[in-house]
Parts: sequence; structure tokens; C-alpha cells
Amino acid sequence: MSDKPELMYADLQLGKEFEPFYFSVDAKTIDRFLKAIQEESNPVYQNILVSEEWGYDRPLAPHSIAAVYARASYLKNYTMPGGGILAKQEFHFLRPIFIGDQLVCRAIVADRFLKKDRKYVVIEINTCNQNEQQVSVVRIEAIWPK
Amino acid sequence: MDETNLNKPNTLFIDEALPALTKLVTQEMINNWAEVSGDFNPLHVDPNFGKTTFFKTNIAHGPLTLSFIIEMLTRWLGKHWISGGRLYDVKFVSPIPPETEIIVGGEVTNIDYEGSQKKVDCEIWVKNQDDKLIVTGKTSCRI
Repeated sequence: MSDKPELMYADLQLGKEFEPFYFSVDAKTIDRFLKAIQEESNPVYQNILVSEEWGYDRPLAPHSIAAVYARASYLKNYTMPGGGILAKQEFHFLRPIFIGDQLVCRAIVADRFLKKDRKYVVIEINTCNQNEQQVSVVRIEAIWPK
Repeated sequence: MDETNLNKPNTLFIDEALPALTKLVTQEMINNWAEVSGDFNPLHVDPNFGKTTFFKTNIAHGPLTLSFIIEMLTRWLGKHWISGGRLYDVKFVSPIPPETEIIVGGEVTNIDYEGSQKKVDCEIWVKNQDDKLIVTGKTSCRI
């Protein structure tokens, strides 16, 4: 049982900035992620030959892992109350992610509103690499349970 | 390297079908996603809880499905997608119970020529084995 508090709608005021969340793109994490999406045999990832062919000098990580670090970025100090529903999600990929990258994700409440008696929250997550280059922007719109 | 386009698709045309990606979503896959994402919502990982819900079953995580779309687009557009691709207007139309085969696909809807680049817009969809829509969305990418 986590001792972190639930993240409530009342906590999610417009403009709220969450503490930066640091995410290490290490090979072990990527192995687990690729297994979860059954892409272990995808030749693009963790393959320096493909990276070099694409003009990079380090092995690529799957940037679909943005779906993982985006969620974690606003739940660093909280737990998600049960019953939430993901309504929409948007990804903008700006740069590749490589094995060994150290990412920092900054989440902010971009919008909150009521619709049909449901509580909606939009969280935008900007993520940069260790060189302070922006790698992705993710927007999540969720129906918050309480 | 026959699974993935290493080079931009030079012969793009409007209405072109995107190369489909098929996945079988299993409970094991859902559990593995819960492990890597930290999302252990019982709606996803507990079949007994799922039976008590509106859906009458447990269902896959939404972002798991989105990761399949992203992987399909990576296979198709390669390095152009991972350094400029945008997936937006995603709508979750139907849930995915475990043991569902899904097909991720789409088609090219527009091509704008911008100097030496093309901006390609596509409609994206995810359907189940019965051709029922699960997710819809749009994507754009410069190549």
C-alpha cells in the first residue's frame, strides 16, 4: 500500500506545476518496456547499426515509452485515485530518445473543466534530455474520479 | 532490416493505406504494461473486478494501445516520425478486453509540399478482429 496521497481534482488547479520527474532510459527499463508491447524483436531499438544508418551515433530507444514517463511525471508524489478514464492523449515527438539518456519531465495542469457533471483535467508534459533539448510534448486529457 | 522503412516513403499518395500492425492483446501483456507503467488499476489487471464494472470485463490500458500506433508509425516513417511526428485527436471509441486481436492501420489523407519537404497527414485507426473501431486519431509528419 503506497503512503503517497491520492491526486485529487481539487489539487489540480490550473497552472499547477509538478516537481520535475527524472527518467533514466537504461537498457533494462527498455527491455521490460519492449517486452510489454511485444516489440522485443523490433530491429530499430538498441541496435547501433540501425542508428548509424539513420545518422545517429547511439542506440535508439522506443519513443513510445513517452506513454510511461508522461504518466509517471505527475504521479511522482501521488497515487492515482481509482476510476479515472483516459479521454484523449496527444504526442509530439521532437527528437529521438537514446539508450543512456537522462530525461527530465515537467508536468503542468494546462486545463480543467466540468462537462456533463464530469471533472476533466488536461496535463501537459514537456520532456527534455540531458542536453536540455526538448524530446517530446505529451498532453493527457482525463476524466478525474474525485 | 526488412520490417522497417529506413528511408522516407518516396511514393506516398493520398488514400494510400498505411502498413498495418497486428497485435494480440493478452492478460499477460496487460499485466506487463501495468508493471512498466505503474498503473495497477484493477479495471486493467483484475478480471474479477472487471466483471463488476460497466464494461463487464477488465480492459487494456489506453496508452498501451497508443504505443502500438506509435510503433506502427515508426516502422512506416522511420527517423522522420521519431523526430517530428505528431499523433493527435486520439479518441478511445471502444475498450479492449484481454485476448483481443487488434489491427493498427490508417491512410494518407493529405500531402503538402513545403520546399524540399512533404508534410503528410493521415487518419489512424485501431480495430478489433471483428472490424469494430477501438481508437481513432490523426497524425502528421514532415519527411
